[in-house]
Amino acid sequence: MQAQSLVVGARALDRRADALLAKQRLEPTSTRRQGLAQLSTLSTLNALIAAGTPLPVPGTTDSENGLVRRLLERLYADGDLSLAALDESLCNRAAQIDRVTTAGPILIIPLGLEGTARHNWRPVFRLLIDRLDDTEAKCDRVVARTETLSSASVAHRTWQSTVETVRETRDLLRTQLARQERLRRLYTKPADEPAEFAAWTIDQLTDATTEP
Amino acid sequence: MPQTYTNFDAIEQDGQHYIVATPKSEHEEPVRFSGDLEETEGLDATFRDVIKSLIQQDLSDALNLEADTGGTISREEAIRTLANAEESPVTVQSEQQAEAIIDYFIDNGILKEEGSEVVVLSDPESLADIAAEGGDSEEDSAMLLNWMSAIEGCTTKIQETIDTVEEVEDELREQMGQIDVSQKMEEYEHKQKEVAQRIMNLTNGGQLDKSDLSNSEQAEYERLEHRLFHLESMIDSVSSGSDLDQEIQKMTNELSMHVQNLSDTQGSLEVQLERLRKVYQVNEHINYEDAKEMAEHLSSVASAVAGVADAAERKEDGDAISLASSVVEEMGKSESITQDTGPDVESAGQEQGL
Repeated sequence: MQAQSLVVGARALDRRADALLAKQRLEPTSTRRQGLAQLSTLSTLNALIAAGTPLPVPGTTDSENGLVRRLLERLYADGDLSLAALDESLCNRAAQIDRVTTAGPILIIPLGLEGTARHNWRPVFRLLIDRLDDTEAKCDRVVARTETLSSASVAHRTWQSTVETVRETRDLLRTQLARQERLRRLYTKPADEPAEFAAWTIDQLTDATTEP
Repeated sequence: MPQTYTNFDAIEQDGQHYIVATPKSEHEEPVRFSGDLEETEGLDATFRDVIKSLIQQDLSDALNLEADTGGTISREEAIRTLANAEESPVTVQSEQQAEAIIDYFIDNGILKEEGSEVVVLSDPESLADIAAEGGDSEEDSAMLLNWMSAIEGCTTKIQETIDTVEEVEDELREQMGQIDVSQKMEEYEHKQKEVAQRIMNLTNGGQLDKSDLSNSEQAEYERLEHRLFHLESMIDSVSSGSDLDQEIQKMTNELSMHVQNLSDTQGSLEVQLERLRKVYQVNEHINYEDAKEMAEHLSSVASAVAGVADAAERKEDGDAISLASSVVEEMGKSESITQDTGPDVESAGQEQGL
């Protein structure tokens, strides 16, 4: 899987909400159709999330997450990661890390269970959570506007369902991230040395003063 | 490995105190270090902080712990640790400086040289000797301080570990707290039932096909269909993780146990530290006879703490009255120091009660 599939899905949700909010007047049938399109995109997005979870546990927090996040933001804004559109320093830095690959004129951020690709899930999920938050607010505003439409109860309900589904999807992303984070933390156990030293010390001192 | 620096002079330069270390070999340069280290006795002297940080940092692997010989660090390792310490009680800018400090400590009996190793913690038998015989050498008294430094360093390290674990726990609890999985599960199942019911109503109990419906009804049908399957997948995702959640819960509990064990260990260490401090003070301020009694008294406290107070052995002695009278007698003799022993007895009692 690639980050693109998930990010572009989230982007489509946001753009569709934007398009409706930009309209002077909402028309019931098309609003209803757009609402169903949102639900359909969300269904694809959720299928992709289900395919990728539970998330693989990365070794350590990766310092490259910041760079990957920047690339993901560009991906979300532009819809793709065309090398020509990225500034040179970003391209150069991206070329130096294993987590990003190039396919012809575009950069690809792979998502996988093994190797460096397993580190990419986390920044992708974080981006989705942040962006879905904005999208939910926009969809909520669409819901408010559909209330004023007469004979538009289905349009109203499809957008209500959209808001609900976006919220549930975000909860799911957060649950999966939290699970991953817990596992990662639990695998990174605290050092035993102080306790071992303490045991030794107590042992030594107690023996020395109790034995005749 | 012999000492590199053998001669040490306290000097004053620009209002600052320094110790200048002169090397044995003429080919090496003299080096100076902070005069704060001049004082090599007493509980509050700066050298103790240096020893503390040395032990604390080498606790991980460099410190070599042996049952009968105590704790040693290789000379090279000790120099490297001092030279590279992130936070040091005195400024150490070079390995030469670090080496001069180590040699100064050896010169003053704070550390002992043993081949290429530096003895930081002596065989604890000698501690018993200090207490029992009043500690006739300054060296033993220095080692006693090192033991105290080691325990303090270790306690600090344990506290750091506990803090980290607790911090992580809090963070995770907060993160997971926002998402109550079982509550979500109920919520999704409830919603799914509602959606299913609506589909049934819309299709007249499943008798109508989607194509039988009006445009607006078809849209509603599609909406419900999306919701039905979405909720199904949410339920799947949440429940498929519930084994994982249980496993995580188990591991979290183990981690809490670990913290609990560390806290207990820390408690025992503090008791030991308190004991040593008293032995040290006795050694400093009270005559040998009193010191001996004190040591005997402390031994029994220590054994009580460690849970090795042997009831059977006491029973063998059999005579409770003679034991009681000897205790009373002892109390009388050591009246001058009973006040000091107060807290110790108390803490021993607390430990036993646990």
